[in-house]
Amino acid sequence: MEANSISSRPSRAQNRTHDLRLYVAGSSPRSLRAVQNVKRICENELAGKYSLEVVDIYQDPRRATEDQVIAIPTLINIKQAPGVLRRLIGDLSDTSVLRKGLGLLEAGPA
Amino acid sequence: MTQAYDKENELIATEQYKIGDLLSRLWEAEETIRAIYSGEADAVVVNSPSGPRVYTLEGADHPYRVMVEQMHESTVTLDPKRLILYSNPQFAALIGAASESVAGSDFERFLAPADASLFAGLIEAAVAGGHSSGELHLRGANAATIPVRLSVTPLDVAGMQNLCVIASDLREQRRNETILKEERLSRLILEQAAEAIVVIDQQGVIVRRSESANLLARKPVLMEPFDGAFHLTASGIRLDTDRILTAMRVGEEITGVEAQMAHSGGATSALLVSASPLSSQGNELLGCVITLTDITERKRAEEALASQAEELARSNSDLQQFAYSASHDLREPLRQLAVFTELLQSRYQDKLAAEAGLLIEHAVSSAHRMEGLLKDLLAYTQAADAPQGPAAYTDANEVCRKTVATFEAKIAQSGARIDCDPLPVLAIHEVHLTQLFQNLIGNALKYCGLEPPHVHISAERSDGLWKLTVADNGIGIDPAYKNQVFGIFQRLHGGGKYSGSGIGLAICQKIVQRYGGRIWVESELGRGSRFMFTLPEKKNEAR
Repeated sequence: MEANSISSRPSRAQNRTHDLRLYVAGSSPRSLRAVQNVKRICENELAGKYSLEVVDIYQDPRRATEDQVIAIPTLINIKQAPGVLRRLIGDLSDTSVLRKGLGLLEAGPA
Repeated sequence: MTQAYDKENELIATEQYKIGDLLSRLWEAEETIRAIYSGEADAVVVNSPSGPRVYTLEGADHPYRVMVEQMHESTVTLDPKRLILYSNPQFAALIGAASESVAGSDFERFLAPADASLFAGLIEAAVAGGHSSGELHLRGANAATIPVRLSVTPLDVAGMQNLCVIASDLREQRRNETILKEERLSRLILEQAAEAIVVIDQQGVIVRRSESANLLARKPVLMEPFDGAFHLTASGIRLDTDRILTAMRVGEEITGVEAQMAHSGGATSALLVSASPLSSQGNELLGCVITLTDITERKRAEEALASQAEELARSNSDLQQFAYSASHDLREPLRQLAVFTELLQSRYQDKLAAEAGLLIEHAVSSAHRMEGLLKDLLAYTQAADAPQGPAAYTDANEVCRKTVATFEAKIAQSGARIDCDPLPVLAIHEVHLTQLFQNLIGNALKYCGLEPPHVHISAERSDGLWKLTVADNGIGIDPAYKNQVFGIFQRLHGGGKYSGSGIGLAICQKIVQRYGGRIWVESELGRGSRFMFTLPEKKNEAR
């Protein structure tokens, strides 16, 4: 379905370095901000190399327990390299934490 | 030694990797705890015995959240760059996308491209005026176009200037409008139909009717049982809704069945009845449409016409019979009259005065002339009688050649010239065409002037008919008499100069008319005559 292949997964799987899943809680302010922050960093620094799923735990609570998510918002880096963080909690306004979590610190200044 | 050393190095590397992993997990754990402590988390998920439950830390928005998730409308929250930050399940369902793929996408992706500028205008208006709404199209799965009404409201939440967009699905409404429009149209058509049309349901109750149905039943029939409103009989058997609906159920057609309708006063109407089934999508019979065409008037007119035609045929045949027997039966006494007069003449010639002999001569010649007239009349009454057999086709060239041959002596004597163009094959019996040529060529040779006769026979085709022309250079006919010449015993010249009874052209006209053709003459005195007649061409003839 063409309409489903959205801008956050623009590339084929082999080119991707980051498969991300963001757990949010409806339209709470931190959730909204988390979506915006993750999207901004990814488009700026990982364009064409990432996929992003946004899961609303109100709509799909089962998935939260599958991924052992206990606090919302949580960003999970599924395709995890050694030494790269698996999950981050919060609205991710602290860009340096988000960049470190995505293993992007080496690529440029914080 | 080396082996032990290698093993030690390997152990160290493994441990170092473990330490790195532990450090990263420690950082993750510390970060998690810090985030929760510092209030960066909105909600906590707890595995309860009854399944996972979400504990929202800020509980006041709970009723609104439930409302947003449960309401019928689709809604999304957009950031100023039109990135979808939140979508309720209805929006994902509306555009046919997986719900986790909607948030984090640009809204334009789900907007019909043609409506992009309209959407931009809606946002501008909302930002400027606090609210805006308009109808446009979303793009769903498989590029389906979805008509929606979008309401856009700026939403400032915790320092973010977002937009709340509510999309109302208009598909159902559009469909309803279409159906209503169609229903209104078909009702208009039905009500104004000239024929009596009724729609009955499964119980045989009339649920729709045309105005004419009321007139036919002589009362309002809506919501009445059909059988009560229209008492129909076809071939002596009652034609009721039971029979009609049963026929519909077994797929039997009712088309133009003749039926009688009994009115309450005892009068009857003749009807043509047709019925078509109305079925649900599940193919269940819901009822049927019955058309009743009142043919009472038409039937009466047809019967009147038929009886008139019959009467006409009878009187025509009576007349024919009379003319035949008159001409046939009168000949016998007439011949005896002639015979006895001749006997009188031969036996008593010397005993009678000279004047008496002259009178007897006149009587004999009159009797002979009358016999000739009767013979012609007989020929005329029989002229157009069809020979037995199917429709015949006759080669006119052949008939013309034979006919000319019969005039051989006369042609030789008068020095006549006869030119005959190539002629067609005509849909006419040979005997009739022979009579036509015999009379027309005969006349052309007979009514000649001082010049030797010159006869020209030609043919041309127009409007599916053949027109044959027999032209001569003879004495011609005064145009004033050009219709009269085709009458019975019509002669324009005294008995002396030209022989004949004047039946020939009447016979020609009778024959031509029998084949649906026409005969006429163009002429002027002293300028010759052109006799023309039309006949149907041979069918299937290559054009």
